[in-house]
Amino acid sequence: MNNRERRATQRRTLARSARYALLIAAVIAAVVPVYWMLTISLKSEVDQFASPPKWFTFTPTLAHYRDAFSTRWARWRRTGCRDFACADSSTEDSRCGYCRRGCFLRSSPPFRCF
Amino acid sequence: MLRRRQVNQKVRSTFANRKAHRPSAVSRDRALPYLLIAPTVAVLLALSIYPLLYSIKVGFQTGSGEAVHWSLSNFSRLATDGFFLSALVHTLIYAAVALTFEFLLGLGLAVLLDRSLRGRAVFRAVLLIPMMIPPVVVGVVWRLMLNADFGAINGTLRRLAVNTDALTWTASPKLALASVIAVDIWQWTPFMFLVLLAGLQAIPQEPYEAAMIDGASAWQTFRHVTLPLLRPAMLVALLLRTMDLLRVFDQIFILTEGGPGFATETVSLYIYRAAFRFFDFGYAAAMSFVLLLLTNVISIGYIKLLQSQEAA
Repeated sequence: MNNRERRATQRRTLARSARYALLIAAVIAAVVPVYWMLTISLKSEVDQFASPPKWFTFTPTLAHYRDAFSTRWARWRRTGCRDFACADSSTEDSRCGYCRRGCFLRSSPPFRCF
Repeated sequence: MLRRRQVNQKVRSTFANRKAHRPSAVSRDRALPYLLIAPTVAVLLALSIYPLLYSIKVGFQTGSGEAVHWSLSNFSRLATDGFFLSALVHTLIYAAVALTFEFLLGLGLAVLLDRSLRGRAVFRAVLLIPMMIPPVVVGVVWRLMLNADFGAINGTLRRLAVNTDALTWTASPKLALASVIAVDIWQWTPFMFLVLLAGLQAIPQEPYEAAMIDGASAWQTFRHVTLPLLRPAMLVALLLRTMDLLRVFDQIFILTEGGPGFATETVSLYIYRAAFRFFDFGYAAAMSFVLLLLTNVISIGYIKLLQSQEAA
């Protein structure tokens, strides 16, 4: 292989590497926000807004997917939040109307949540 | 078998009988195309033409209920409305900058992926992902990422010891328009890439062989073979993107709602505000009409260019 051929091969290799580098940069730019969207769907509320952001290290949860595919009743039953009134105010927890013993959905038949 | 033949005969004789006291076959043939497009035309008239004419009518009216009367005041108001003019400027800047970047980046990516390359199918598929996400979702994701205090971008920058005090993205009057443009570029460069790649793949091999025999350099080949042959695809991609960019609404509405202040207010957002916040439908219709006119003029320019190319 003479000098000229070697140089041509080198240039081809360089050109191919440059093509790959540019394409990989483009793929990263395209994928990072999508990846971020995916991680947020798997993060607990605390991790979603953590600062500095947690790109890779967080405890994944499927709770949001369960919420998305469940009915509002099932969601209420799980979280005990929103439209619930506690049967007895002494059992009311400080967090978002969570009841330790029994609770009722306002304007509906009694509804046990826990 | 026999049964079918009998039926066929019956059908044929029925048609023959009808022909006798119906318009001639020639005029029926002439009417057939109109009959065939009639359903489409009816749907278009009802869903597209009628609302358009109605909105033009509303644009020429002021007042409401009993007090409605015809006037040109909606249109004369446009010329002196500073908000409308600044929204128009924002729309034009938005369209011009986003179109330029999307075109150049899309063309670059298309050229990179035109020739065979290991993993080409994977690159092509992954690069199209942003386009597949609904604009509203894109707006939500980027709004979270661009948040000055809790967003992933500023958080990461702070971690890299960059001072992010001035980088408030969508919350800063200076950076807001650039931010929404960047999001548009992120989402729609894949579209340019897709159309231009299809255009590149449709170019035959022979001109390249001829250029190689003539000793053309890579740049000369690109400049004098690829670009002229790619022109139809480029014009189609630019035409479609221009129309979309001039009427952009959803991403900006989610990202900034036209704010801060009026920094990212485009004509579409101002139309929305006029119609559904101030309930000034006449003025909103007049603005829509002007936007439609602008889009049409630009599109006709593209189409003329495209036709002159085909004629040449």
